[in-house]
Amino acid sequence: MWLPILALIVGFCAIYLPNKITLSAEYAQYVGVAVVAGFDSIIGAIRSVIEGKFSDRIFVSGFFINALVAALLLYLGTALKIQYVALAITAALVIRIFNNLGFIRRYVVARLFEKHLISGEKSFPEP
Amino acid sequence: MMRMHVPLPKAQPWMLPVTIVCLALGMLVAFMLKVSAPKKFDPTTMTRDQLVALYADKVSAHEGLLAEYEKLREKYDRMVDSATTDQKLRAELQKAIDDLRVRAGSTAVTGPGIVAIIDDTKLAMESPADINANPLLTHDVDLLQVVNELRAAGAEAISINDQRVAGTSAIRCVGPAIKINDHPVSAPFVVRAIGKPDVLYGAINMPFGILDQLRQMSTRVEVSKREKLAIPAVAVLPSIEVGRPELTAPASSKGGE
Repeated sequence: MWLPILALIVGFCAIYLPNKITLSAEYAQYVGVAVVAGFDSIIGAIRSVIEGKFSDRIFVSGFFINALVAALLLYLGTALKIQYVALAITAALVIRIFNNLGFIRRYVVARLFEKHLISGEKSFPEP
Repeated sequence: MMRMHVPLPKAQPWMLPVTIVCLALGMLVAFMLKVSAPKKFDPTTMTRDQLVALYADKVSAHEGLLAEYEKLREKYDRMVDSATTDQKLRAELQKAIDDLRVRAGSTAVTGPGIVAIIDDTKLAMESPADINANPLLTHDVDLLQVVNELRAAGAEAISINDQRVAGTSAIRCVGPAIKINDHPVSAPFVVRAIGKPDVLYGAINMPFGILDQLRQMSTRVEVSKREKLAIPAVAVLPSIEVGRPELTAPASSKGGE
């Protein structure tokens, strides 16, 4: 459980701490879209774990390819002078994130609520 | 927390990929924060408040730079000062060393002065064998007295027959010859002295002085002032073997920083 969090911190520090690494503003939106795609993949992975059909290969390939394709689409859209490409991609990804998040939320709340009910029944017996 | 350890073995398969992905995600997020936004500077679209803030910023930055300039300027001045002081000090030291070398006789010297030629009287050679010629000859003591007189008159460098008479020089009678710096010299003795020519001339020709006495012994003496004289260095300065200088800071060297 702690290993991924550690990896997150390490990865963050590896880029954030060295002063030499900077990103010019034109590439910022590509990174932003890639980050959103990455979050989407992670939320999707959590959902698939809950559903019990998690596959590490699909997860890893999904993460990298989604991020890459999101950035590529943005590039393509910008090259074709389509407006609000980043917004469109982000909207699509965020919709997926909310979908999956809703699923997870329902699952977590159901479990907590169920447990709470059980313990509540035990602690507050009918007089 | 106890519950977390239970599903761990079960959750192991997804641990590695999630770790990899988290690493990548952390890097991406960090990249986003590292965006150096070179905002286009366009004062025409700025509001009055922004412009005022910008102006205040620039003014304070300008003041900071001015203060820095002042500081650097001061530092520069101080460095230039100390450099010139060093130069002055060095010139003073060089002068002191040169003076000491003249005094020690370790260097040849040129300057105005006098030349005194002292020759034995012809009487000594012409005299019959029964006459004691000894008082008629020029002796080491006579030369010592000449040197003494010249030094008293402020001679800065003295030589006798091209032998420098320095502080370490001895003038000794060795049989028929006189040895100066362990180098035999004989009449006629050419005494050169660098100093103020008039003073030296007056001092050495003092009535009842050494030259006066020599003249009374019929010794031939010629003294002349010279505009320019050259006096050689002592050929071999004896080394200091047992004496140790007791070094004390000279008062004049405090003039530095």
